[in-house]
Order: sequence, then structure tokens, then C-alpha cells
Amino acid sequence: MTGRRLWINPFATRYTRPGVIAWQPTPDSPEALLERLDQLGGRGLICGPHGSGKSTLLRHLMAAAAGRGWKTRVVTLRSRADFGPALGAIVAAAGHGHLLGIDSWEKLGAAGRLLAPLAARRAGRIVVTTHQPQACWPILLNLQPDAPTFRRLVGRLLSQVDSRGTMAAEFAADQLDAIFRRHRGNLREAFFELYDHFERTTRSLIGEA
Amino acid sequence: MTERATAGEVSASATLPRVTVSFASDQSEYAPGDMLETSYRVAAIDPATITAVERSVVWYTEGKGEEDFGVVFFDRLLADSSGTMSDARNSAATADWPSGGFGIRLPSSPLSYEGLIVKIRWCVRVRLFFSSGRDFVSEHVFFLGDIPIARPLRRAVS
Repeated sequence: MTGRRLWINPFATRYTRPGVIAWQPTPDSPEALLERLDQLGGRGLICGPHGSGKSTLLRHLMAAAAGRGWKTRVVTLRSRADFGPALGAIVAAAGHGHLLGIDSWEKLGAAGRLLAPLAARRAGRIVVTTHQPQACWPILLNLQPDAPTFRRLVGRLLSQVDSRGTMAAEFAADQLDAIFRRHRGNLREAFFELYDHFERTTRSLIGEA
Repeated sequence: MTERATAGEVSASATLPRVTVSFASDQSEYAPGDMLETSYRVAAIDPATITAVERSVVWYTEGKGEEDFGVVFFDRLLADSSGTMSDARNSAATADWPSGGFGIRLPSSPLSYEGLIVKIRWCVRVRLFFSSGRDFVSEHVFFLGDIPIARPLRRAVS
């Protein structure tokens, strides 16, 4: 065997999945949002379109809550079949020292509209991510990522790769803005495009070597 | 050797430990069934602040989709009140705490793979736990097998 070089793609899910990327400094820090959550009565929605960072923010909220000593739990819904687990989590974690996070509430469909009033009346804190506002739920944060945020996230991901001594990649600001627009603000899909671009670039370099 | 270290819960202002891993194989390349002999050295940190060290050998997938992983070796060494290691099975390394080493026989699969959509990576992982409750993870990639790097097709197949 010969010596091999490792090519780390900074846009792989491993480096972009919810909770991995550090939260970008904004007025809406996780700590500030926990304060706002209490002002809202302990329940709130994180709204936003696909790939806008709802799940990422939820993970950061959970980490901040755990840092306060709260008991935390996240339930990720995949389909209407998860109604039971969602109901169980809502009933079980009802203490004031708890923070329950439910990710992708919209997956429950019509069943979610039945469950929402029950969840809103429970004791303890609960944060739900969803695409659209829900009746009887206050909005904790409405996420609308912009191009500068996307550029900052890309820069952070690339710097992590640089620090590992692997290949650096460069993207012009207008190139990143075009990718952001093409995916209509869906950061996840934009990262996937950059993943593919990175793979094409590195393979062509391997071919030249 | 390539290192992937994550600060985890260690704050940005804290001094990060430095973990280096040495493989018996200079190229960090192994064939299925080979013995993986490795030693690791922990530096730039007060050993008395480390309460436990987890050592593991894992494979994981990396790419655009869901991730998968497997653990082929794992153990956890605890420091006693004097700041030395309390695991009797590994007492030979006590004087070097928290540095150490171990060896395992590698399985026959999955082989390391550098695909376009998915990659399979193997690594030695050293995780340090501190008395503050924080932790630090350092991963050191090696290769199992000799599968060539995948290349995209240059033209469509007619």
C-alpha cells in the first residue's frame, strides 16, 4: 500500500448536522431565547422553511438548558405514526425543570392540531419546530436565513478543514450568494451543492496528481 | 496521520489539550485481520484535571446522508483520587497517565472507502473527561484495506 491523503469534505452531514455548527453570534442567542421562552409562558415555536436552521437552533437551546441544570429531551417526528411518542413525551416531561423539544411538528399533520392544545396546557417548558405558525402557540423565533449568514457558515466550515491540514477550498462571495438564491434560503440543500462541488474539485486534483 | 479534534464542551477560552496518536504502521494503513498497535500521548493539560479516558476504535460513514458507525474496541480508564489510573487491567500504563496505548486485531470489514456520496472511515478515538464535567474528543484516522478512491464517470455510458 502507498501513503494516502485524507480529503475531508467540510459540507458532509457529519459537520453540518443540527448541533454541530456553533451558533452564530446574534441577538437571538440560545440563552436569550430561553429567557424569552419563560416570558412566553414556557412554550414557543421555532418557525421557518426547510433547511433554515430550526433543528440546529433546537439543539443549541437544549444544550443551553442542560447547562442550567434543566432536564432536556428532544423528540424528532418522522411521520404521523409518531403521534404516540409525541403524546408520551408531552405527558411524561411536565415538570418545571424540564425542557421538551419536538422537532418537525408538521409531520403530525391534522393530528398535530389535536395535540397542540394539550401540549400548550402542560406544565413545564416546550419548544416546537415547525414550518408554519400554529394556533394557540406563541412564536419564539421565526428563522429566515440570509446570504451573509450563509457565507459566514461556509467560512466557518472551511476554516475547520484548514485547521486539520487538509485541502482548502475557496468560494467567491457572489458564487455563494448564487447558490443561496438557487436553493431559496435552504441551507441544507445549499450545503449539499457545496459538498458536490468539493468532491468534484478534489477528484480532479487527484486525477492530476 | 490525520487528526480531527473537536473541542466539544471545552470553552473557547480554555486551553485545549493536545492528543497525538502513533500507529505502528508508518502509513496508518492496515490489511483486514492486522494487529493495530497504537499509542497516544496527551499534552498541554494538567493530568490531575482528567478524571477518565475513553479509548475506542470505530468506523463511521461520512457523506451527504444519514450516518452510520460501528465500534470494534472500547474501554474507559478512570483516575483515582490521587490522579492516577485505577483500572487494574491496564496498570502497566499507570505511570504514564493519561497517556497510554493498546492493541487490537482489526476485523475484515468494512473497508475504508473514499466514495463520492459516502465514505467509510476508521479512526482511533481518544476522549478525555475533565473534573469540570467537560470533555474533549480527538480522532485519528487510519485506513483498513486498499480500495481505490472513487472517481466520477467522465462521460455518460451510452
